[in-house]
Amino acid sequence: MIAARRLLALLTRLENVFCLSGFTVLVLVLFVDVGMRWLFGGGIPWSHQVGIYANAALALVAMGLASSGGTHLRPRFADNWLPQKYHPQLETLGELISATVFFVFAVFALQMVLETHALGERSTVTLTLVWPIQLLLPSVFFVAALRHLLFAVFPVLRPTKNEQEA
Amino acid sequence: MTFFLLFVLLVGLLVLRQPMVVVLLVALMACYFFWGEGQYRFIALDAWNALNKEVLLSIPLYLLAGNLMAAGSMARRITNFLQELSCFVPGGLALAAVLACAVFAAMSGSSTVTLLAVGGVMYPALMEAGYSRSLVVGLLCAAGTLGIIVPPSIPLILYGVMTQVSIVDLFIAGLGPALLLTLLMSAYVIWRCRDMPTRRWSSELGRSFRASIWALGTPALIMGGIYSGYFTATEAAVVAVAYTLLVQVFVYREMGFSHVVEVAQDTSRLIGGLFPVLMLAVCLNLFLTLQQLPAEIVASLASWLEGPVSFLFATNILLLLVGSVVDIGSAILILAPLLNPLAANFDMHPVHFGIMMIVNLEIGYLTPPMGLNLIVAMGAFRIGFWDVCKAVIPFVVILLTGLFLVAAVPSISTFLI
Repeated sequence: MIAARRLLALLTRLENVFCLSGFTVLVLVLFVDVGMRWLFGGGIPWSHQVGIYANAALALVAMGLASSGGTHLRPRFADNWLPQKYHPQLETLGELISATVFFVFAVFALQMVLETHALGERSTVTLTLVWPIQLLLPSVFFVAALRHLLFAVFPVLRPTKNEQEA
Repeated sequence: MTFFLLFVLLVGLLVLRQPMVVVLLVALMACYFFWGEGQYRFIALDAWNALNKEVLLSIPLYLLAGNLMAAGSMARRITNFLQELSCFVPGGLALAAVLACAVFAAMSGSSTVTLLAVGGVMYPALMEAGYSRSLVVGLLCAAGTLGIIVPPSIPLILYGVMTQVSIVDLFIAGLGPALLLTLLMSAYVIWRCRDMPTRRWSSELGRSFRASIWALGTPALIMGGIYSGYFTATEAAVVAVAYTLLVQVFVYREMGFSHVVEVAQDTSRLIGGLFPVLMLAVCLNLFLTLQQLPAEIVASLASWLEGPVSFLFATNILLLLVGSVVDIGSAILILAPLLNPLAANFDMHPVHFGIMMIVNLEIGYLTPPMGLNLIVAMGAFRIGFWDVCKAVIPFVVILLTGLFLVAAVPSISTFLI
């Protein structure tokens, strides 16, 4: 369990650094674009595409932070439909279901990325290959599957507040 | 039979406390299994395309700006100024709370942030001034909901993303209903506090204005930039982040690097909860549109509903019910693309319908069992759940009156667009 705890802590730290970098790129690139348009009458042509990629990366990686922090959107009206005494088992079952669903989707996402790679698809604005950034999609879902599997095996590692409605 | 099994499966997932992202993934996989010939990789492709959109850029930026504002003293400064400004009115302090919520909502774009930021400052002040606890809690909960209708608003952006309606038009249209609701709440507060003492303006008014002038610049910058057409919604969002950082770090000197990092991390957690749901809701919407389901719903319901009035009545009842059990983000993401074509069928302006939908779901913040502001207030003000519920009843009636007016008089929303 110590190894699992360390792995989760490392993942969360990496995700935090990644999200912070994403935010920095997003704010800087868009602000410089607005500033240049204001000062010189013309912005940076690729700024919005870079902003979109930064936003997509931030949004995907932040999903891990939502899992570790217990801030996933979750309707709670059915929480107490089953007797309280079964809740620990139901929570473990729930974590296993989450892990399975995320893993299956990660496989589909990987198929999609392999297809994009085979086609050599590029961004029409930045002319860069699309698949390296798309690779984030299967990666974050694989990590999410791993995280929920660990939550199922070691209930003590689950976030204390398991959900939040935004 | 297939629909019934799918429904049972999804309810079963909710009983097992699955997050929306899992529920939507299972729904999508089931849809592709039954009606999509098993081409599951298209779910991933649609998910990527959903994220690869410029229109989404404003959401993390407004969330970040709102959290940065809430972390410093901006709310307290604005509240102090409004408190001095409204001191000559009976119940001026309570009125200041309503106005502070409206102004702060225009900065933060979030209902919960507004309730916590303004409520944190106003609750002790109102209690100390002798206002009844029931009025204070009710008014802070209700005025806090203005955060989702006063532009810029994250729910308005979500509605725009899901229905392809201009977000700038939605922001402009949100102003009329926001003013109406603020006016209705203010009138009620003045009436309830008509026996409270008043005082004249003093030199404190000028001092509080000077202290809050940088904070008041934020809504002026966002709203002024958008309404004048100088900024798009995304540009206004990035300018709001930069301006707030400038004010908090260099002018008020209340935030250091580590504090900014902490706020960015909190915001990331919110984004991580919202965006995967948004991404998959867009996928589901695309699939349903390809299968022509919205068109079929329109055709079947159009024959059942006799006209615009019965449509408005049925839609509002549905949304009030949904809003009381499901969070506003999920409700918009799932229902907006289904209801919008139906509204168009009854010749409703898409912007008017969107605003009505948001005002309706705003009431969901105050209705048990899942009203988010009730739950937040319970924790923030240390008061029992049912006491909060009782305190908000008059304000729910006020909001329902506002909803009726917004639904019945389209020009309240559309007069500026």
